[in-house]
Amino acid sequence: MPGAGAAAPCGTAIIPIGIGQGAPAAPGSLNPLLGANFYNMQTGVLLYRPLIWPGADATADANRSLAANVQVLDNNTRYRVTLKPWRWSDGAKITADDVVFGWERIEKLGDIYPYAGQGGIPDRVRSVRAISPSQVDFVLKQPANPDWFELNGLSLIYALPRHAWGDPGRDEMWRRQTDPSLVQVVDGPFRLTDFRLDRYAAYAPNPLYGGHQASVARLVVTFLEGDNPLHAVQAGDADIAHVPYTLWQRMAVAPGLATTILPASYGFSAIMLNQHNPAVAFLQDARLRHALAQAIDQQTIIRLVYRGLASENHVPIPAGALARRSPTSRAGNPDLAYDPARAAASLNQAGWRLAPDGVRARDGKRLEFTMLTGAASDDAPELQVLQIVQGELRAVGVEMHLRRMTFDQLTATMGGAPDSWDAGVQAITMPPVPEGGGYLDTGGSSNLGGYSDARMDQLVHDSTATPGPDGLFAYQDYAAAQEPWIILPQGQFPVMLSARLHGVADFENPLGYWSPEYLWVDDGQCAAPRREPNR
Amino acid sequence: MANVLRRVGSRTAESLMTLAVLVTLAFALAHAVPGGPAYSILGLKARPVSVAAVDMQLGLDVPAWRQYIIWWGHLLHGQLGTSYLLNRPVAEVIGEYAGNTLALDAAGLALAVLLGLAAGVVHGVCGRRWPGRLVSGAEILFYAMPGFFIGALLLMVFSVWLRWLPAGGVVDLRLEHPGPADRLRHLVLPACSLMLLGFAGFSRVMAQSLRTELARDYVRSARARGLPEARILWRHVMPNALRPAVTLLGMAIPFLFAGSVVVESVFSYPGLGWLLWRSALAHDYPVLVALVLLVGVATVAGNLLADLVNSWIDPVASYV
Repeated sequence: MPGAGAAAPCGTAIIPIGIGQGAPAAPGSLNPLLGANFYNMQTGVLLYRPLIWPGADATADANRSLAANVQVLDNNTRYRVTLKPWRWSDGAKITADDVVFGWERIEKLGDIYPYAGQGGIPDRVRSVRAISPSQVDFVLKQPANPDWFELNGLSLIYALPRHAWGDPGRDEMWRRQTDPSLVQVVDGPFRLTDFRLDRYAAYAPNPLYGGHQASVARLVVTFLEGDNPLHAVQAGDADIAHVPYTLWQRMAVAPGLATTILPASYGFSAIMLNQHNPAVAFLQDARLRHALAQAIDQQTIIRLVYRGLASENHVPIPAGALARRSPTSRAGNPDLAYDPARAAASLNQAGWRLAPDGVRARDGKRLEFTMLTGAASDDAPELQVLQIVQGELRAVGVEMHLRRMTFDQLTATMGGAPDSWDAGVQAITMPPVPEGGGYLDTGGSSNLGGYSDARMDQLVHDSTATPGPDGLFAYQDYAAAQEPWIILPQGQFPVMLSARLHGVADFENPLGYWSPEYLWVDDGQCAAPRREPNR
Repeated sequence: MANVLRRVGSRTAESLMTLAVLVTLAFALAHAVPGGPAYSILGLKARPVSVAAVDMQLGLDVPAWRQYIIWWGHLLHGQLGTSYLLNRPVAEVIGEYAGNTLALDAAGLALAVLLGLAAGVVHGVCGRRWPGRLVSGAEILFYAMPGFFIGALLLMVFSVWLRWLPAGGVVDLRLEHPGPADRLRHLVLPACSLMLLGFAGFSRVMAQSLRTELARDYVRSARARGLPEARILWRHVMPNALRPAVTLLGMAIPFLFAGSVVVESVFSYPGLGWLLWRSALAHDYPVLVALVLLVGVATVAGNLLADLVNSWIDPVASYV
């Protein structure tokens, strides 16, 4: 049965891609299983609902999830998902078999499935079986922390319409990932009406969607890049756009426009230190890594670069995920607080002495390294942050050189030969339950610096296997003690929006799970929609 | 006529060699840069095993020299390959964008030529009198301005401040069925940017050419015979003075395309220039090399056409 009936959909909302996540870019896939980045996610989740919908607070949002409930059985190894009685856009009932079909597509994608590893998908899953038309069992190979598996794993699982898709294999799914004809039968709040590669995707409400019905009659997600979204809002061609920090509170807001602040994306920025490169073997020393962190004044960065719109952070957990942070990290990790005198003392203790040129040296080797950055422009916040870091490290006798490259060159370089780089900055997006798996465990797929520590491996594993938050707390406290990466503040998003656009708070989600069905426009012709009763 | 055809044939053969070298260079440069499409597609989820799998999916798991040979093999069969990022045949992708660029470049070039020729006549005829100095100043001003600055200036004034014209795109996305008038509105600012970018070159060449022609003996003779100044200018001087401008027009294609890259980026105008820029950044080699080839062919054809037009204007001189 369709969801809460509101006033008839009315008006058009134009939303540039990337809002609340980062710089905009065009998505490269309509297939929810192949969307490797938040651009694909933002367009894909409008068409297909995952079993579990991570809400803005990174907990499961029952209203927006396809699953009615999840039962945890057999010592946390069996997860029984009961589906809501929702329908596909062609009227067919969504069944457990459609979930199995979605799972089989993940298996068929194999190595090109981009989310492999997150939430134990697919490696920790022994079998996925429909036990009734509306119930499906996920049986794991070993017990899992239910919070972790449900939020990180089941949020990646989609029901896909077996009756409409046929039996596409890996090659066909790859070939047809931008083919709108593949995604005509959907279970999300919107259906795709027009898709122009690299330009925009247009959607209309799916009247058979089982959740909250969309209030706008037409939704256009534009793939504008650079400063173009902001100009489009100012010219009345779009409804919302990020405002650069440098312009925030300095630019005039024309009549008909408004401003607000969206939360930072669910992640953090990290300086990854290469511990495999013999040329910078000193980065293997945890004392030195601590000293580098203590030399960086995050408050200066927040004030000068983010204009106050960021929070200090020292652990690989999103700053806004307060419930996921250990008591020590909620207290601000005092051991890692800005203290250049302490940093200098630690470096002295480690044998690094100040040379006449102001740079420390030990056994004739200067304490210097090169930092790679994928900052897109001269005024990119990331570059400004690194310039501040450069000055602060210089103040304690550490020379940091900066080298800019394109994002894919950065990723390729850092993932390439270990001796080809010293350090690099990456913005990491976390799943709802932050995890170290793949990042800080030995051989982790995104553990670009090659950090390896047996205790860390155990803590990473425990955080995903043991129920409760203690495992995650122990992992992050040990990460703060080891400091394999230096964590930097991540900015919130000041935005400019058309005054006719409403519902942005319900629409936005720091994890990238957009809900434009909650947007509505007030242009004199459209009435305000009724609120969903159970929200 | 047979002579002209022989020369055209010879020029075409030379041009094909040039194009082959151009494409080879583009292919080599694109592959020389670190990174690759798999990294653009996978982003931070670019695990080595995923990168290898995506490379295999894209046919990039063979050495670059073999990819190069395969590419030529496909080209000889009339295929340009498939875009790595857009998962569609390159010809289809280019076809989708080409119409927009053709409209923009044709409008921009026509406006630039008209304004350039008019300004060139004023500059050339008036010389150091104030209209000539005024035009000369404007030429230098716009010649010196970077393309993105001209575009951004027009955008700020006419879209953001005055809200007269759209800030970008080719249609108003609020309209379900945009008409030709809407498309025209979206063309105005990008075309004017191209015009301002390009007119100064035509104007200065035209002015210089006019001054040279006006100082020739046949003009003095015409004046001595008492012919009206306007008749001398339009009937006798202009056909001769136009030749360098026509040559410049033939050579304008690569500059026009370079201008399109900038203008299309500023105005989010989905054209070939923007596609080229994006393909280069994202290592979408099939699209990138196909566009280089396309621009090369257009440049060669433009030059040939300009020479043929010059031969028609001045049958005595040999241009081809």
